[in-house]
Formats: sequence, structure tokens, C-alpha cells
Amino acid sequence: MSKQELYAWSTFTSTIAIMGFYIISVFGWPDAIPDYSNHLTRLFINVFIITLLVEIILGIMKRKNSVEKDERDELIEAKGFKNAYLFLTGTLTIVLVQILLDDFLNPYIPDKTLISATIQLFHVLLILLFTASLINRGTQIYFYRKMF
Amino acid sequence: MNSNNISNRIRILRFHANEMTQQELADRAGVTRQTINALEANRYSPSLDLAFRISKIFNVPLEEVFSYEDD
Repeated sequence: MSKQELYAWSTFTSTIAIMGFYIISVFGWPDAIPDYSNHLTRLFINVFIITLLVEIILGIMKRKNSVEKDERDELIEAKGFKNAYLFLTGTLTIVLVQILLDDFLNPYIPDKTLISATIQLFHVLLILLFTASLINRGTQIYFYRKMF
Repeated sequence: MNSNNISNRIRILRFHANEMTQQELADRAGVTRQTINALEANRYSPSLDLAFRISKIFNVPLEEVFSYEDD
């Protein structure tokens, strides 16, 4: 496994951990499922610390005369960024349309489920950013595994 | 990114070049060992620049390293 692939895996894992921790902290645990929020929170924190250590060690380790990133790594990175960008532009467009609709429909339909309040919008946008990062790294991992 | 039409003889040429390792070839070509592995497994097509660098390392013409096969 190349260094770039290891970075992709560690970022992918840490993003899942951060996103999971954030969702549990902000939205709470659903009542229908037995409460494992404390266990999962501890797991997410441990995973994040481990991936952080892995990235620090990877950053320190440097083989003499070795190449950090070559043309194949850049090609795979480009594919990851492309998919993440497409996802972000598509979902941000949907959010923007919803904001417009909310403004337009507000006087007519008070009880609606569109994104409206500022803090709601913040959560949605942050989750979209996390998801874009997952798509970016997930795409890279897919092509590293497929081509290996 | 994958090419089923371009094959190569990198592994054979490495063997004949004093059993050069993938890492040695990667270091001389300026790429990672995983890229050399992907090339030999025919899972990656190199850029023209990389293809020429590899052929220069083995001191053979490009056509002796890479070949294009029609479908």
C-alpha cells in the first residue's frame, strides 16, 4: 500500500469518526434504538486519535530517494476531487433552491420541512462537507484497490 | 486509466537487468513501487514521459518495453 493510499484510508476513517461524533452530539440518539451513544462516542474519539497518530507517523517517515506522489497518485487524486466536487455542487444547488423556496413559501405554508433556520443550514452544510470528503477519499481508495 | 490494449515487458526486462527490483526501478523512474507493480500487472497505462523514462533505464527502444494490441 502506498503512502498516498494510507493517507486516503486514514482521512476516510477519521472523517467517519468526526462525522459520527458530530451527528450524535448535535442530533442525539434515536429513541427507537438502544442507547449506544456513549460507546460510539468513545469509539469515534479513539478512532480519530489513532488515525491522527497514523498520519503523524506517516508524515515523519520518509524513505530516502522515495517518491511521495507520482503521476498515478495525482490521477487518482483528481478522480476523487472530481466526484467530491460533483457531489458538492449538486447538493449545494439543492440547498440553495430550498432556501429560495422557503423564502417564497413561508407566508403560505408555515409548517414545512424545508431547510430554513440558520443553525439548520449550518448543520446541513457541514454534513455535506463531511460527505464530500468521504466521497473524495472513498473514490481514491476505490481506484487504489481496483488498480492494485 | 486501465488499459487492456497496452502490454509491457517490464518484469522480464527487470530480470535481465541484473534482477532489478521494483523499488530500484521505481526510484530510477521517479515513481512509487506501487505504480511499477500496477504497470506490470497491466492495470495502469503510463504517461508518455514515464514510458520513455522506463525505456531509457533499460536502454532499449520504447517498442521493446511497451506494445499496443488491437482489439
